[in-house]
Amino acid sequence: MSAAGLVLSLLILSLIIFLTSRLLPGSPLNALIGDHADMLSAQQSKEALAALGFDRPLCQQYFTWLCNLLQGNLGFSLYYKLAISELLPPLLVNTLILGGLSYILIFALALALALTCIRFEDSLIDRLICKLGSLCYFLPSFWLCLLLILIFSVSLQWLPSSGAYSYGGQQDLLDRAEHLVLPCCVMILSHMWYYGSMLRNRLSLEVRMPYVLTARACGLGPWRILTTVCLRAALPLLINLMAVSAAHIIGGTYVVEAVFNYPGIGNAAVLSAKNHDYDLLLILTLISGSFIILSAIAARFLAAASDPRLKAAAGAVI
Amino acid sequence: MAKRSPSQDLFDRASAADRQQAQELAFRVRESERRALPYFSGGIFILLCLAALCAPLLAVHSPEQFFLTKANMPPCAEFFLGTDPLGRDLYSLLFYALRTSLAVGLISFTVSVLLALTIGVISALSPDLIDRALQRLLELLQSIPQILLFMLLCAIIPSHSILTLGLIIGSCSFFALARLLRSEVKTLLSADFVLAARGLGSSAARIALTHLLPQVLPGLSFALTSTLSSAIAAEAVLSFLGLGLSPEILSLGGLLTISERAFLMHSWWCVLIPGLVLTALLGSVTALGSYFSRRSVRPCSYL
Repeated sequence: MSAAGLVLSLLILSLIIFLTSRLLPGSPLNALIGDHADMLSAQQSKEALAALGFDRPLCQQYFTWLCNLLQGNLGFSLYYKLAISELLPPLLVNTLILGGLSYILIFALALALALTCIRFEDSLIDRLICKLGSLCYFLPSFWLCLLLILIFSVSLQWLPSSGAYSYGGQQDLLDRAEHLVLPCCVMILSHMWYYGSMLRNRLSLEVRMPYVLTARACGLGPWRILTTVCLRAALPLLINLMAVSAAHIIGGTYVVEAVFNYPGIGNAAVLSAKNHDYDLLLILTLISGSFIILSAIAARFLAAASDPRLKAAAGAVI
Repeated sequence: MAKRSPSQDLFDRASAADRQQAQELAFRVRESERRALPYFSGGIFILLCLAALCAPLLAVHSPEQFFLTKANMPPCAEFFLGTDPLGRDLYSLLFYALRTSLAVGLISFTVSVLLALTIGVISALSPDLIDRALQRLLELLQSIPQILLFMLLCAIIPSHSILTLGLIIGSCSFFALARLLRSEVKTLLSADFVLAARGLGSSAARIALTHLLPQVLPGLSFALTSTLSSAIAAEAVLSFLGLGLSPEILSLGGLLTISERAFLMHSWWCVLIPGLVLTALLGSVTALGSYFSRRSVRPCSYL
């Protein structure tokens, strides 16, 4: 998708979400003052909505919002009672830590497990890993969270069950690491084998190629062959998977953050959806959507760079 | 001698050794296919569906009865699977929750399939510009994390019954299926039989319904079953987060919302058992799906 296509996609996305979020005019008051909104008389509700700017025509509201966005004013969160540009940075940092760490670990472990499975193909280890991996894949991730909290926080009391850091421990790395263990475990267990099985299938095709026989005949050990030559052949698939998986993994962090009450983008999205805080939900959706579109573009670049056969076919991307 | 078909001719001309090898191979393929029938997962799925249908017959206590004096009891003779922190019998709750989950899953599956069929076939049969515009729109909608789409729609629509939740989930999960359908139908459109049907005077709708659909659906069976399993999972997640069905309408995800209280009371059975049932449901549907995907790529019969 070209740069113009990117901007157009984001605009259409924002328009769709903006229109759907303005369908119920009464709800912004619920976000701002909670249940007291039901006790307001009709006149008071109308005055409150006019003060917040919700009574103007939709087109005007949208253009005002768009102009504010382009000037850097992201809006005001009615639920958190803070400007969104103040609210977002700590949330983004927390989600980037959790998401980034689990992203790297998911693919590193998927690759390691796929290589192990292929080295000992059709043995007990291979079958065990495949079965356990698929089991973890279709366990619902929120239930896995609950199970791990039950085992490690409630029964054994080894790890904390919620939050990103203890009270006052925001800068303490060890404390943060302790809080990250369970969410990362859930993220890894629920996503890893999806990519691991694809890598394993690709590698199993690769080791049946004639050049592997030649390498073995020349005296190279199996691990050496796997890690140097076969890995390079599976690299385009890995890069493609890493780029395409952005949406999947971001979706995964939403649920995990909600269950562990981890103060990140996902938890904020769930809370704003529950409390009808649409401005925040709009900005969060735009952030997620643009991140995914950007990673798709990055995927196209990286795939063309890593596989020379695709370079000719890629042509001009922008 | 009767006229032999080309394959029979080839068979006669092949040497005896080759013929024997071909027969052995055909025999092994048939045997492995028979062994590969999903007895276990099909059985579990049918069992769960029957349990959901016969919920009033199988439940011992009414699901709305709150035994407040006996809340948080572990599994015993009176309450087979224990009671939850609110005092409801977990065993009876499970059947009604299963029923709701399956109902929402099936409704969203139907909605997804209908939407995917309509939009996929329209996209495949329409001129290039409309086709590309539709594909871009689907790609754009697919780039939003699905759970965010669900949350947006759930937040906007005030009350959730089984039907509205099914509609919401169904209308957000059809994108991948629509794109798959569109590419399959597009490759079939250039086939000869479509030209012949057109020449004989069939309308476009008739060709789509009677010729294209039966060819396309078997290859899509894996995508269809994964749509069903993701619909059931989505309903569970949304009910768990509080955005889905209201708490009076029990579902498997809804049973897990009181897990915070269960943790405080150390009632592990409230967390473990509804989750196991949900996992069994999702796992059996997924295994059935992988059986269908294996079936659709089997080698052709040697007859």
